[in-house]
Amino acid sequence: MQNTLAYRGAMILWVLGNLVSVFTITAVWLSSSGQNTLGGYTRPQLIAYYLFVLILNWLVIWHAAHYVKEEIKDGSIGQTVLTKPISYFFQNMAKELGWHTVSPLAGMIGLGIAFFFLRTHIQINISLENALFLIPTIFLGGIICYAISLCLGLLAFWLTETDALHGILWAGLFLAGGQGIPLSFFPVEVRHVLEFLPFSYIYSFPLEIFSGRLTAVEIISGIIKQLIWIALLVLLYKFMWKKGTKAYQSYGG
Amino acid sequence: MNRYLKIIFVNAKNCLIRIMEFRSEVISWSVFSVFWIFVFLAFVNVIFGQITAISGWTKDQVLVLFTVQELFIGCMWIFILPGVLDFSKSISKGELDFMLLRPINTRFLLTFRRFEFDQYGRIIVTLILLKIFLSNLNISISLLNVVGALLIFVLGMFIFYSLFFLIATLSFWFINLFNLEDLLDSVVNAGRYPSSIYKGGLKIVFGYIIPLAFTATFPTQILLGNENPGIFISAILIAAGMFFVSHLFWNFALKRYSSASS
Repeated sequence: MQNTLAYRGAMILWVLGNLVSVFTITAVWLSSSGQNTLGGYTRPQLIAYYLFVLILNWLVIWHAAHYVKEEIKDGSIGQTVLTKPISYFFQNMAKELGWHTVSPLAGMIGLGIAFFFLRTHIQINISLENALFLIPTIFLGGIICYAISLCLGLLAFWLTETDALHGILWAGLFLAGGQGIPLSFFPVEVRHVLEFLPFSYIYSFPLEIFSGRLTAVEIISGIIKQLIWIALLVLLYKFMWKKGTKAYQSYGG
Repeated sequence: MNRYLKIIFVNAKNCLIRIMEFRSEVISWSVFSVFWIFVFLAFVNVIFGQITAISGWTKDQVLVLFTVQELFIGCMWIFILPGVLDFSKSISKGELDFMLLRPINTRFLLTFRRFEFDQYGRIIVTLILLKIFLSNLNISISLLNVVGALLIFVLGMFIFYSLFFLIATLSFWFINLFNLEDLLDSVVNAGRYPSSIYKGGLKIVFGYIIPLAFTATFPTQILLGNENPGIFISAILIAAGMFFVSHLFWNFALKRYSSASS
């Protein structure tokens, strides 16, 4: 947390970047011609959607891949493997907890600015019951994002250049996860495929709850799928960690 | 002048040699940047599955605009952003002191010390896509239009170089701006859409403070034959004004700089 607070300038830049993105996409929808509803959303609902994307950006995005890659490259992961009794899965998570604690506070300022300027263009449809479901679904979505990022970072055990591969996560979230565009914009057949992937459970699922588009049964079903994805990703992490540390130790001797 | 050109040439040559040494890194970044082009193309296609136009621009026109913007981003990443981002980092790393001691204009040195030629894949693919999307419009494009678009494109790069250099100068006060790249990306990506989408307060910000139209909208309009001679005069004046302001701020920051060593 101390580290995060030391980088106040970076936090300001991050808020500004998010504001630029949300104002841009809002301007696109407000100036677009066509039907009154787009993918089942009215334009005010769509703008509210992107404001919620702003909130999710603070809460569910993890950059584990970057830290893991750096530790593997500079060798400091050796200490982790040999000396620390805590699972690397949770160790790495702790590194970014400071950011995830402080960034929502900074993000609130950005959200406040965005909300102030867009308040006449927004429509929010969420019941109290569905709002309560948001907390666990966002939490679980964040875990899924973290686990994918961690696994991508562990590729550094075998590959010298992994930064480009991390783009799989960002592209997945942007196009297939609902961050860039609601999944309801896609043809039904494509949507079914995208909903099979883990990315939709990071952004799209909480966003659909927020937009009031899911029943309680669908929400509970979605939460179960989130848990299944977490279990699969943790198994993948354990497999990669075991194989990776074995290969890493054999290089080191 | 010869000395400065020679330094640019030597730095560029060294950067080219570097990418030859790290071929796998270059290839992976090229593939990555091309991959993102197709992600955004898919994005545009999905959007236009629901709408018919963005601020009067049809899908085919938006696709041309999008590729011009990608070209702009690619050229910025090759020629401008590496130097600007390194400038920001050099302050926190204490490297600026050594650059200030060199017998050459420091701003020039900071701007041109590094290039990222691994964006070449992006440039090639974007040019091919631009040709395809232009042919979809079934319009004839004259050499004059191409030259005019190129001129505005280059002036746009100069405008945004000055703007980004000004932002990077803030590193004198905010020592660690490790995510400056993300902000610059967001700003440049905002030019992906026709600049006429911005109204009211956003028009002031994205029209006059951050003149996004010069990244893609104006070059595309000229390319498609919608010339407005006033754009050229505006571009020259804005480019000169931006450079002047960024240089003033750079000198102001330098006077207040307390170095890492003394």
